[in-house]
Amino acid sequence: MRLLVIVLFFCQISIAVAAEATRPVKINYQYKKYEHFDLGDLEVQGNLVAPGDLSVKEQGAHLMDRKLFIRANFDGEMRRDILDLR
Amino acid sequence: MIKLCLVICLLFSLRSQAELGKAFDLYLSNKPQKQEWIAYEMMNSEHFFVASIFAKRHILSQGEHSSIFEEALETIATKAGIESLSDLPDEVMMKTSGATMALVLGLRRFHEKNYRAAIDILKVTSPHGRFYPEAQMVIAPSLYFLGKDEDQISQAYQACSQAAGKMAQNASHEKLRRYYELIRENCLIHLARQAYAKSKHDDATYAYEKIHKQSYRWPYVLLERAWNSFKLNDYNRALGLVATYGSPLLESYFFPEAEYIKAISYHRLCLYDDSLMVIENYYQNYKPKSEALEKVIKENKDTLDFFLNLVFEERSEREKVGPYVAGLAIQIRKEVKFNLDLITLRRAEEELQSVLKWPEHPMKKDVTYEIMGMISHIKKKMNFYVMERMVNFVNEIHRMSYEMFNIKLDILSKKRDLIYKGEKLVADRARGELRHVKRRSDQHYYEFIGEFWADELGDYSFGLKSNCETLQTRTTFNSGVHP
Repeated sequence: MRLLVIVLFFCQISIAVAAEATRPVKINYQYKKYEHFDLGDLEVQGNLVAPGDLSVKEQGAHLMDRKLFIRANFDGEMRRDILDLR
Repeated sequence: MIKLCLVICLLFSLRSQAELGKAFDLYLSNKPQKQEWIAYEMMNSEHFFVASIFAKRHILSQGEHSSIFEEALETIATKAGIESLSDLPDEVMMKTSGATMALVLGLRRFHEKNYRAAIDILKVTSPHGRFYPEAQMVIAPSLYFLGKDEDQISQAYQACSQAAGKMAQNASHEKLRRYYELIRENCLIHLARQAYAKSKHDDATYAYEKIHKQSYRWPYVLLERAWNSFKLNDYNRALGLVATYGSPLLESYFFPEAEYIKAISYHRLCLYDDSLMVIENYYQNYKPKSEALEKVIKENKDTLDFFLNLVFEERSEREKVGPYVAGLAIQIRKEVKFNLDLITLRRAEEELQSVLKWPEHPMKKDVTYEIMGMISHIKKKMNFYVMERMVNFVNEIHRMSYEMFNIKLDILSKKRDLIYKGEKLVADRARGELRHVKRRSDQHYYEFIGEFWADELGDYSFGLKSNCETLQTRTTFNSGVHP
């Protein structure tokens, strides 16, 4: 009898757990909270070096040459001379 | 003396009447050779346009023709122009032999850019024939456009200039002499152009110098010589050559391309401000005038004889019509092509008047209709020729305007680069010095000092030093303290 009571007790517990497991889980969404950085308070490890001079790397300046019109031939004029013949 | 003249005139008149009578009889006959014989009779009475009508009818009916007829055809082509024979269909012309039809057909093939066919047709022309120089003048550029061997092309041009020179010496009258002289010069200029295209600019210089200052072609050659000097990096001579167009003797010759040569030569000498000034002047002068000329062309483009009549107007009247019209008309009137067509037109009109005096006959009605058609065709062609020249001129202004704008952009870009690089051009130099003039020992040189002298034209050279040397403007700070 005592054994039956124990078994029934455990059965009741497992049924309760199973019922709990099938219930839909409630999800709470939370937006990321505002994060504040104090840049002035930040510390960077290393040596502080100031540039002695404004330095721009010298590069071979690439000049874009515009293609200007230079006479290659007088073929059009040659044709016109023939067509104007007689 | 007066009596003798009257007797001669009467004899000529009677002879002409007799020839006309024979032609009338032949016209009504059924003889198979009647077209050929009428053509001979009309030639004898100096009615070359009428003769051309019957000559074409003979070719259409017979195809092949004799050497005597070929000789007659040559005379008709010379007196009435090749145009009077050129409306025959291809297949008929292909069947006929002889230099006259070969020239007509060869020119037609050249026009169609069928250069190989043009050569095949014209190569049969005899070196002793009347049209040999013209045939060689068509063969040589055909070989050039086909990319043939340079020596072969030069030989054709040499043959052309020698034959034309010989014919000019033996010419029976001044106009014919000038015509053959023009062909000779054309062949020499083509030789120079061939050398230019092959980048043989020294050879081109010598070839261009063979054209005399008295030649009709000389003002046009100046522009090509300027380009050739430019290619030889002799920008000062290029500037001197185009400056020649400022001479009062050449005031009717204005070429937008000459202004471009000025601008680009200054650009190559790094005289950017001078170049910009040329460009600004170009825009100020040419742009409004070209727009006005364009308006005149658009308003009259569909008329039949507006442009042709314009050429014969008084100068003051032409100037009222639009800018450049007076100058262009002078240029066109000097052109050989226009003059040949004008002579043909006048001859056709005179011949029509003569035909209208003939007694009533079916042949009179027939040829009157044909000659009126020919006159109308010549007039339309000449009107179109003048209009085309004006349209080409406006297009040239627009094209050069675009190219000038490119120079302007390039100058602005170069000026900006100089500033970025902290450099400047050598500006404190003399404007011109003799030591900067390039010249051969046999080449003429005249200093251009703002005046034009007829014997000096074409031999001017500027003496500008190139301004392309740059000076560093960057300041170095030794102590790191600004001065």
